[in-house]
Formats: sequence, structure tokens, C-alpha cells
Amino acid sequence: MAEKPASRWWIAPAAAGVAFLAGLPLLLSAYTVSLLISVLAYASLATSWAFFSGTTRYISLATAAFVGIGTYTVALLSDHLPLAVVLAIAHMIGFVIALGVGLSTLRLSGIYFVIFTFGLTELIKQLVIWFEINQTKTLARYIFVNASGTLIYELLLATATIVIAGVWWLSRSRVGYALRVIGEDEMVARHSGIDTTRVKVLVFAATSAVMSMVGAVLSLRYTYVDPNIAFNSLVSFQVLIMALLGGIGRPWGPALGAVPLVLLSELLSGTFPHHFGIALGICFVVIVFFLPGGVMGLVDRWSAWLPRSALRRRKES
Amino acid sequence: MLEVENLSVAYGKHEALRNVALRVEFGRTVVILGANGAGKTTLLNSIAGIIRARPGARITVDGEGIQDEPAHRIVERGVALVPEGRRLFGEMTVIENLCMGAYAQRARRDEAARLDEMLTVFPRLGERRQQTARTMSGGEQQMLAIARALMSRPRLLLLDEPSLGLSPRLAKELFATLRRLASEGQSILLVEQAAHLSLRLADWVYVLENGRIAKSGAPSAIRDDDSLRRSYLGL
Repeated sequence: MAEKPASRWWIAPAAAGVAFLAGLPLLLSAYTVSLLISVLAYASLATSWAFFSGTTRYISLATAAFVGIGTYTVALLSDHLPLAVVLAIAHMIGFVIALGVGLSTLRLSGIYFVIFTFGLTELIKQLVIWFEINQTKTLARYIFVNASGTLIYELLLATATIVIAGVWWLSRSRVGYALRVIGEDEMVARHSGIDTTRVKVLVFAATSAVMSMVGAVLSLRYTYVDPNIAFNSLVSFQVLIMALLGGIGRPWGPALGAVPLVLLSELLSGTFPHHFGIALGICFVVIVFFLPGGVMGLVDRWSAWLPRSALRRRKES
Repeated sequence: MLEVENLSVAYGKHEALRNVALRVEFGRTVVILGANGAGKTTLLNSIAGIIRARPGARITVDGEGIQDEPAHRIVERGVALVPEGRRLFGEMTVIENLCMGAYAQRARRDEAARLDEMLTVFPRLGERRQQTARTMSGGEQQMLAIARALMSRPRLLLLDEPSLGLSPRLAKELFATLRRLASEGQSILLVEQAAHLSLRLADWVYVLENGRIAKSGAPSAIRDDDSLRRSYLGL
């Protein structure tokens, strides 16, 4: 694939930035760290969501399902197995379930895929409830993992770094082009020699596995979990809004979108705990109306207005 | 090199193609004339693997059956389609569109050389490498669509009404390009309504009516056929 030679000037600063972030828990209060944990978790979720749904335009509302799968894997297994093994299993279960879902549903197009993925979250939640009531006779579980806020933070920082770097790298590869082309015109993509089913299913599974991983790590914060907490459909919508806010055209856009919305959620749920949904809905409307290209699109427009700005010069060089 | 036998396609109860048979010899240009709704697009799409034919059909490329293969495998066999209405990747640049055409395994090895070749064959595209496809004129878009298909070094090029929506002058230019490709040995299967231009290009002609092959023959014979003259040539 003819790729523009990428300038790599930013790799050193990015590495320094990650190192700095890794050191932050030493400096910050436990509250701030827990806020950053949410930011990192949602940054990973929004980035992986956008890599599949943003490029192919197969809008998935199954984020909550895969997050919940991760959460429940920890709830069920953490008493019996070491943490690292549990996390790896969560990752694998997410991948395998997404593979099955993908194979059976990715031929659905447009609105049918959206509805299916939305229904999938509910279906899995109901299955877990059924299983817990009829088989284990418990509807709530306690998670007794001795994980400090710092450990959760570092795990999620590693996940977010790998996800964002991976998406950046993949989006300039053959796979990235294939995804974009599937989003533009899937039939012609097939005429171009792309095995669209394979690309879609594998990327859907890989990004879903990340979601399960994030769900698994996040669950270490909880002491108590039940199916309604683990499979919370709101998460699917929040992730979608974050990706839109940040802008889905770029690898780091969705992650940027996660920052203001996590902070906003924190602010809103602290100030108006009962009107959180309304505020979130208003945000969604505002984003779609005023920022169709997301924040990154706004940056582009501004840099076009400032002809001599550094941003623009960098883009052209 | 391409042989189609007993090809029938149905959309629900509507039969779009019935028992179609045709062949394209290596290096030849074959034209399929037909009115709107005659089944032309269906025919090309079923050869390209986008639409499944009814059981019993046989489509072979160099003797090997492809009727059950998925579209991306058929590209690997050396059959590329220029779809109706161009269907470019509108948000991508000229170069990116061309590179997508070289996605197939068979095209990857000397993609760069092929790209240079295409930019020489279509100099207008060379001038507009970084232009977004959707912002180009209709004629340029059609050239890009053809160049994109050629990027996979197809042994057989399928074209679905390439003159659609082009001015008479651009259509002429387009056919001159096709003639040049044909003279360089490219095998072509062209589906068209523009009978005058395509008859001049064709080595062999099929006439498709209501999903069946109504007639076939050399272009001169088709030109002399009275009923066809009335239907397709407006004479």
C-alpha cells in the first residue's frame, strides 16, 4: 500500500508522556487516580469502538455486553485463579463470543446490526440472570481481589497505550484501508479483492476483546456486582458519544473525547445525580449538531483559519 | 477464457436471467447490448461473485469453475469489475483509490510499478494524485474507476455501462481509451446501451432481452439486423 512516510517526531514525546502518566499515582490523591481510571477505561473503549464501528459504519451497541462479560469473568473466577490468568481469560472469552456474534450478524446491515447489538447486551444480561438464579442461586457477587487503585490505573494505562498505538498503526496498514473502504462501499470493497467478512469479523472480535479486558480490570474497583451493574446499556451509548465528540476520523480522537465526558459525568453525577441522563442527552444533541467532525474536526477547521499556525505547517511537512 | 453456461438468476420470484450462455476469448472485446432492466448488471455481478446464480450455472475462467467463489477470490483469478455508476471511494484520494484496486494478492508484488503505469496511461489522474475522488468530474471519475480495476492486473475486465452519465464527447474519449486497452491485448466484457460506440469496439456482440440472450453475432451482422436497428440504434 502506498503510504506517506510518517513523520515520527512525536514518538519520543509520546513515550515521555506515557512515562509521566505512569508516575502520576505517586503525586495524586486517591480520588484523582480513580477519576483517571475512568478516563483511561473509556479512552480504551472509545478508541476500540471507533476503530471498528467508526470506520466500517457498522454501529455496535454491544460495548456494554463485552464490558459485562469481562466484569463477570472476574466475578466468577477471581476466587479461584490468579489475577493475570483471569484477565487473559476475560480477553479470550470476549474474543470468542465476538467471533461467534460477528460471524452470525455482520451480514446484517445498517439499522438491523445496531438493533441486534443492542439486543445482544440485554440477551446476555438475561442469560446471566437466569444462570445465577437457577444454577448458582445468587444474584449478586462479591469481588474480593486485593487490587489497589494504582494497580488498576497502571493496568488501564497499559491497555490504553497499547490500544491507541495499535489502532494508530493498524489504521495506516492494509487492514485500516480495508475497514475504511468497507465503510465507504462494501460491495466495491469485495470487488477490490478484500475478504470483507474476514476483516470485519476479526476486527470486531479484537476490539470486543479489548472491551472485555477493560471491563475485567474495571471490575477490580467494585466489591459488589450484579448483572444490572455489569451489563449497563448506558455504557454503550456513552462510548459512542465519546467517540463522536472526539472525532472518529483519527486514531486518538475518541480517546480525547473520553476526557471531557468522564469529567462531565463526574461533575453531573455529583451535582445532579437525578438528572444525569438528561444532561448526557443534551450533550449528545449538542455534539451531533455543532461538532459533526468531533473535536479533531474543529482543530482542523481552526488550523485552516490560522494559515501560519504551527499545526498547519506540521501537517503539510 | 471466460465461459458462462446455463446462468439463471432470480430475485425472489422475479427471474432476472434465464439460461444465459456466452464466452469471451482471450484478448477479445465482447459487448452485451441491452435495454434498462434486461439483466445486464445482474449478469456482470453474477460473474463477479456478488450475486449467486441458481444451481446448475457454470462460470469458468480458463476452464476453472468460479460460480461458487466469493467476490474477493474471483478478483484473484484475474477478473475485475468496473461497477455501474463508478462507485469510487469518494472520500479517498486518487492514489488511495488506485491502491485499493491493488489490494488483491495477485497485484501486491509490483503495485508501485503498476501505479506508475496507470498514471501514464491516464495522465489526467497523474495530475490529480491527491485530489479527493468525489470532487472530480464525471469523466475523470470514470477513468479512475477503470484504472482502479486495472490495478489488479485483470486478465478480464468487466465494465458496467461506463458511458452512463457522460457527455457524448467524454463518452467518445472513454471508448478511445477502451480501444487502446483492447489493442494492448486486454480482454474486455462490456455491457452498454450506447450501441453505436460499442459496436465499433466489439469483436463479438450479444443482445440481452428480458434476461435471455436474444441474438449474438459479429458487430456487422448486428448492425444490419432490422429489428435491432430499431431497438438499439434508433434508425
